[in-house]
Amino acid sequence: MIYLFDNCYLSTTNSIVEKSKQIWIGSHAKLDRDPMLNLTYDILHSYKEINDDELEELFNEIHEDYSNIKTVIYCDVENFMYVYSYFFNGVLEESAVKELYSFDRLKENYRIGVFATRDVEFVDLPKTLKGTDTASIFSSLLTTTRIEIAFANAMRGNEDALQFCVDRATEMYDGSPGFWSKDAEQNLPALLSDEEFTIANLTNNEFIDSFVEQFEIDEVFPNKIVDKIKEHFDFDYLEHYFTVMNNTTEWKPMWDQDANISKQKFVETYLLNKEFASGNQLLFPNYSNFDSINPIFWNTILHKNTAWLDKYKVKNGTYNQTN
Amino acid sequence: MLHLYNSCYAYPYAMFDPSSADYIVVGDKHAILGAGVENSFYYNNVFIHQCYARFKTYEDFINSNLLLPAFSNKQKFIIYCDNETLIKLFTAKLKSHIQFFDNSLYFDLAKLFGVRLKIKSKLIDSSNKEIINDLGDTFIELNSIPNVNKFPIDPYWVWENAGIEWKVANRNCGVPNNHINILNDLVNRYVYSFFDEAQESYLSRKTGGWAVDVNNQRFSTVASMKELYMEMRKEIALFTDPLILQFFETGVTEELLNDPKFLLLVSNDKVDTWLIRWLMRLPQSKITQLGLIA
Repeated sequence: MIYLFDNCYLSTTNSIVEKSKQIWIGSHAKLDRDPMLNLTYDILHSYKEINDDELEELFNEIHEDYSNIKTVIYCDVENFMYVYSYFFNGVLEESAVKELYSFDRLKENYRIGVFATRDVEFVDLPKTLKGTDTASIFSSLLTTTRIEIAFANAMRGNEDALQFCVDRATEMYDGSPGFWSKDAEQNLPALLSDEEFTIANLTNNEFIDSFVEQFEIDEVFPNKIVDKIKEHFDFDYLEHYFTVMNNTTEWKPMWDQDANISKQKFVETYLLNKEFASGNQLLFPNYSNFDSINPIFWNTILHKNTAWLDKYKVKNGTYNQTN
Repeated sequence: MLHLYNSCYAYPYAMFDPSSADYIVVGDKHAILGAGVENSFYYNNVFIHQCYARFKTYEDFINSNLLLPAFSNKQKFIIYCDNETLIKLFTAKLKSHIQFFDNSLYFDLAKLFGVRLKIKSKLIDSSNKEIINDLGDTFIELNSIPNVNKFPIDPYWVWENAGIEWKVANRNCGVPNNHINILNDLVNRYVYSFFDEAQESYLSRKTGGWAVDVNNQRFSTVASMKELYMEMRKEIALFTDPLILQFFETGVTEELLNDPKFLLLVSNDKVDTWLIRWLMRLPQSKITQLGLIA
């Protein structure tokens, strides 16, 4: 399933996401013979053949009417290559479309990142893209598209692309201030003395704010809570964590360096750091939706030259352009 | 959110998430909430749980034959509802547990629940922050008690299924309850849960094994949690170690129950540590006077 725009994807018939709006293009003999077809899928349109004008109209309709609903365009091999090249010709030079296709072809053939197990007809996309010379006006007007492109550009020093990835990852890296955040609310009563645990105190915003500050959520590490733990429980959590649980005696310099790191900085410094990301392969995609990312391409970005993206016409990642 | 009984919770509409658990919808949005989720981008790659029923009003739900099955569910089950229904559920639950209802205690507990929600909203990094915070304000500002009765459920069922909060509060009132066993169970689970590898790393070390079942699938089959813990702590100690040691030394005692830190050991989704702490502070005479059903 290849991400195109908004919530619209292009797919072969190797894996079918049943609970989505669907458009079927090309010849699908098995599908035509299915007597339960109307009850099985929510098909918006079916085309035996489609041309540039009709495709352009289709993209616009999906963008206008179904931008927040997952919509998948299912094609036979021939039409997959046609729609693929027509769409990406609008945003990439011809040679870059072929480069991108080499990754996307593998994703389709191996059904990577799609949780659906149902197939209508299993096909193998050929190595060589035989598409069209024409290009979509609709796609050429997009301002955002696949996150991998932004990531590749960020790896190559593009500041805007980096910021886009940082914003995206920060958002995905949700609810992750680390230690105790999940249980903090439940554990708070244990940290309050009898004198503090009164309705007057608990309904006093200032008191609550001062108390809750120790669980500040924009931190990756629990640098504030550990002092409280030591104060309340007479337990040196950091010493314990590093020396006992992780067998790292020389932890203090490392801690001092990153103790106050914010979530945004953490994403920027580690998740989007090429060396770190290489050592933790697919770390970023793991937080994402594989539907909209090609992990083979992603991995390649970390290890190979992606200079061919220089000619990419669209700046950033996968967000809904209307979002 | 609001824990009712077993694995049944009430959530506000705005926190609707059909990927989380089977559910019912109560209130003015009963006909529309979740009706079209099967076509949503956001729920495409997750399992969508079933909506069992939709009730127009709180009363429709309370008088339905789904009340007891919902409250008895051992798998997570959610009642999505409007604020009015949520407050009614909160009230009916308190009335079900407090035989001689006390208005001032009701408002204290409503404030406590509101505070809990507000603190939760400050601590989570989520788009639900504002929703939870506003709901917290609603409970804190409650100044009247909804006109609802206790749940139409056999008091014996309530006594059997009461949360540990009520059982601990009621422990010295001459009504038999098994709070010691439940607390033992909670702490043992807590200790056991710290070590994913415990089943493989520790359970097979002792001659004959630590566990009664050959695959060590369940902590409850561990022959001696104390011995297992002592073995584990040779390598990894927990930050609540002194408290756990005390627990294994003495069992659940009054001293331990009155130590606020003990809440760290028993807290989980279904144990309201705020409520338990509050009830523990009430004098014994007050507990007796309330006639808790626990």
